[in-house]
Amino acid sequence: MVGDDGDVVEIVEEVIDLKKYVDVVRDDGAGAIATFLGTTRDMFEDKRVLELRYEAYHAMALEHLRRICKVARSRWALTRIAIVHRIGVVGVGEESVLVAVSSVHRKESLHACEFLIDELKASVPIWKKEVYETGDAWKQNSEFLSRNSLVTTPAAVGGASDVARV
Amino acid sequence: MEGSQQEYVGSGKEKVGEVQALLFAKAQELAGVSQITLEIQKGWTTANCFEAVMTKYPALKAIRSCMMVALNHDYVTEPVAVKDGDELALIPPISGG
Repeated sequence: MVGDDGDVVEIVEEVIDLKKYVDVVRDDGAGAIATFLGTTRDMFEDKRVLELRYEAYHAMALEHLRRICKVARSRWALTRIAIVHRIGVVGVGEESVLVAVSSVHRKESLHACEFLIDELKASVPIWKKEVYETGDAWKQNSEFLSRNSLVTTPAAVGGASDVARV
Repeated sequence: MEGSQQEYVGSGKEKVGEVQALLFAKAQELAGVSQITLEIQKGWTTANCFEAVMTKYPALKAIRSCMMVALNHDYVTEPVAVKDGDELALIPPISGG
């Protein structure tokens, strides 16, 4: 999916091809391409992780991915952005998420890359379940919990800060 | 969740429309459904819809304090009026990345 700014945001079920998205953000006018790859770990505390299962609220996730791209563009001069999240079963050691940003100079793309993955973890409705040798568990991003004070504030009845605010 | 069925929640009172409520991740597992059609009444807000879902699926109360609500793809933090055709989502703590 390509937005107004040429930003590419996608939710895919197949393996993420780094080269493909580096080429998406590659531009003759850009002297820098920063990328972030999130990969799945094999252990959680003392439990061995067999695989991860991701699911997304597709329409809302894509909309919020486009929003965080817009916010990044308002903060830094960026040439192109690509954000891809994989859903379904993701094996240990495989990429679940990719952020690629290009800019004329390196600082803008490096800062934007970090900002985008942080914002994704705080506001984009995607969920991950870790499957262990014994049992499984839905994970929770600290970025989401801290932003919304969810421990004490019931949803839908007010009081929490706006998660969509960035 | 594959094979999740859809449910219908009606009140029998004055109906002014329907809202689709979507459940994800742990919320979907606890309720056993992925989508609920809610009959809304005059003056209803997201909070009324949320409570209607809690009442119909008490298992969700285990995570009620840690869920966010989204209305038509926007997170809402205060009760917002709903209208026929709206899409409400119960958002358990997210864990993308």
